[in-house]
Amino acid sequence: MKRSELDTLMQLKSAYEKDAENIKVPESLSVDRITEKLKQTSVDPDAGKAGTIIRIRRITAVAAALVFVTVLTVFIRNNIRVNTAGVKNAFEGFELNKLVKNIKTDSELQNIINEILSSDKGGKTSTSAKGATEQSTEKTGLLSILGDEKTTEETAKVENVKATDNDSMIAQAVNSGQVDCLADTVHCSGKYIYTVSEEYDERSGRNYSAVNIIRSSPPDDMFPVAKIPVTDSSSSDVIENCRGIYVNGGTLIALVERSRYAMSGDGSEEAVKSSTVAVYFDISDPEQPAQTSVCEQEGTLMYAKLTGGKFYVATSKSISSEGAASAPTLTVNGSQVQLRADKGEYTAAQNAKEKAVLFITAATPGKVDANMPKLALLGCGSKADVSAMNNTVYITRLFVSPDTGEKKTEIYSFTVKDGAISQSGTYSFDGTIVSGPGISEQGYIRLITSDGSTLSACVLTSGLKLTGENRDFAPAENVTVTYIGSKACVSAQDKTYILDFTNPSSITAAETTVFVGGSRIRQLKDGSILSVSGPDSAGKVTLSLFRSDNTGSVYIFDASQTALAQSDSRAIVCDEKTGIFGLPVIIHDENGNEASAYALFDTSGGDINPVGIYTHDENFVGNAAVRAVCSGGILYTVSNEKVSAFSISGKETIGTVTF
Amino acid sequence: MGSEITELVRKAQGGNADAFGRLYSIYYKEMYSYACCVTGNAFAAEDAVSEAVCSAFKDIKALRKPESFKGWLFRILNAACRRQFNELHANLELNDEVDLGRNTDGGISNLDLSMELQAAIKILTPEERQIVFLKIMGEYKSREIADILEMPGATVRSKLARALAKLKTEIEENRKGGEDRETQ
Repeated sequence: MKRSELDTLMQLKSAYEKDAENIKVPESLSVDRITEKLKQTSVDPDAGKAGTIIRIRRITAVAAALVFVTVLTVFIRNNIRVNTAGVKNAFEGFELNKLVKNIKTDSELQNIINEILSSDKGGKTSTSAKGATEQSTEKTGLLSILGDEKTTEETAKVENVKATDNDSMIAQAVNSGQVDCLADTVHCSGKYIYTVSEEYDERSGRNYSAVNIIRSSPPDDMFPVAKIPVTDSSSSDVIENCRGIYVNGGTLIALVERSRYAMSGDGSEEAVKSSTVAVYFDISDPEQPAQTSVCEQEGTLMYAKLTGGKFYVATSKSISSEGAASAPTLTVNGSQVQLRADKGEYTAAQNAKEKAVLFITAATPGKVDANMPKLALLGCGSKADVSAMNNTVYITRLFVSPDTGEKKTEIYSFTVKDGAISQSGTYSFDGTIVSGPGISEQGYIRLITSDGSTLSACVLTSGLKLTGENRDFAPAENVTVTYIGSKACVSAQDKTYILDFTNPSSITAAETTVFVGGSRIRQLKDGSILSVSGPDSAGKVTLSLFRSDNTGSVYIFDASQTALAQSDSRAIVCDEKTGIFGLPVIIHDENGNEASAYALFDTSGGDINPVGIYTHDENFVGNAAVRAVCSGGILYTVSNEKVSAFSISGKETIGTVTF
Repeated sequence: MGSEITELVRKAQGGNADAFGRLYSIYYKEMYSYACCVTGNAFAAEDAVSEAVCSAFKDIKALRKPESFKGWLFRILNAACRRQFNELHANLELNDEVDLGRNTDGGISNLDLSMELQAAIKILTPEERQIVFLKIMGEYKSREIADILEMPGATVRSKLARALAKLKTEIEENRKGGEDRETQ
């Protein structure tokens, strides 16, 4: 694209974005009106079948009045809180020493489920200082006239700890350990590259995912040796989505989200049943992969990680029925496995229970069977944050008092030992965690916490005992936190604080004005930290290097003509040993062609210097290179359909293979 | 934001209208703005957005990649805009360079749009507007626009170049006209 065309395009884009922000949208398209309309559509199965689009601006006055009443009702329910004498604020009644309760019998299990279910039946549940649960339902004022019941919401709200705080905090944890493995679509074992591609099934007319195994050595003779379908496209009632693959030694695990739709008797579609499926393959001979196990776990995928020889999967399922039907199901190699209270496979979160259950399994890839460690944590669901490391699972929850807005955080740890997952510690404090915890390979938990005005750092043992603190080291404004190796990069206001957790009992903080943080960050072998931010509105990408001697270096990469292909942190390629790193880019030429490439940089001299642009595809069609691997002086770039190999020093293509 | 959208999409795929409403709240201004620019008519834009939202909610189970929600939603919106425009000009093909209802109720004079966007609506054909606005939304490459509009990639690029040249001239003339009026 020519410069003048780009300028015009940018001018128009700027005007468009400004207008889109300020444009007056008709009332009929307001969020409330549309949401109500959708609710009516979802209730009436014939609404979408008539073939005519109902124009919302023509909704009758009666319907509008009904919407108004509904909105008014919701508004009143959310905003009018009548104080009721004798009921203590649940937030004040937290039993700090009993955050989690073990369940040993079926009757205990039933009682807990009843308690959770009753908390959502129009009454109020309030945990008093003595731990007793009280319920009441009453009618008052306008709501009585409307015939609705008033629900006083005394229980502290559970907030999603992943959500940002009022202080605009965002955070990312970066996995850097060799033993850990977060899901990705590309893995390289040195001799083979494993990548997930989207394929088209001509028979069903639907797409499916497949894992491709490509022999990548020698790079001038790359060859696809296997293609394994990992999702099923044969049924329109089942939608599967491959979330990524894990490769460890002779095992490959494909993680698949499955949504199963059932039809009701009258032909209208019913609710979805969500589950997470781990498909295990033996790849000891990568050229002849063999499926060994399939483990289907009910619930929406929350977390998955391969670490310490175990594959942890956490799913969340809402509790909507009593008894056995509320238990999450686990199916291993076609056989359904029942969780048992007498084996300690149920526990319950005590404060501000959610109407949900968090289901955690820890499978050993080479031995996936019904006896794998598993745990159902009742009263805790999709709003919790899960992490795993060193045979320990950590769960973090944030509570907000509905009355005062006061925030409180709870952390539970569970140890995986002797075929079971059992509670090992709890910790609670006033305030919030800025990001999930950063867990070291030694099992220490690093936390950056906020009390709303300042940030503090602390370290807990795996049993959740406090070992070190650095209080009030920075203001809690515009904060980003990234854990990397033994350090954390905390950006607050205009400074970056590099916290060093090497000594858990003494946390040190170094300051720099160079921004180092965000999700696109890597640690090099010499301890220096590299991060990528942008592009900004002018198309500039900032590459920052924070050296181990606490000095910084910045390189501005003009991406106005060479756009970044992806902001995904996994798209960065980094050879920690040589200090070479790269980013995927899209290059536009004057004829309007778009080329997919990787831009490489060298940090070995202590500064950031460009090495070159390595073109993956000169005129790509939809599939840009979004992953790359550096190995033995060779750069491999990977797209959905192609792998290219380059000599980094020679800046030339050695080989390509499509699959 | 990405994980929040993914979570909302999954809930919406389970029939949760509130979750879809939250997704809609993220994009509705952009959707309406885009529809206004492409159809050149406020009423048609209103109907197009309404139609697109209903269709999207009905078909969201077919969305295999929640992270692609925005692109998918705008594909549906684009199709709705095309239908609304055709309905508005029942006797004319979308590809023809037609009057854009500027003199009818709901025409661009009633839209509170910037000079640049008004120029785009006035000077560009509907097809050119689709190409330009799909491009500036930053979600689509030339090849993807070609797929949506079912035309060769080279045609998209040449039409884009031609549209931007026309637009540049129009904006400059408008600006010059404005300066002349101020001088007088």
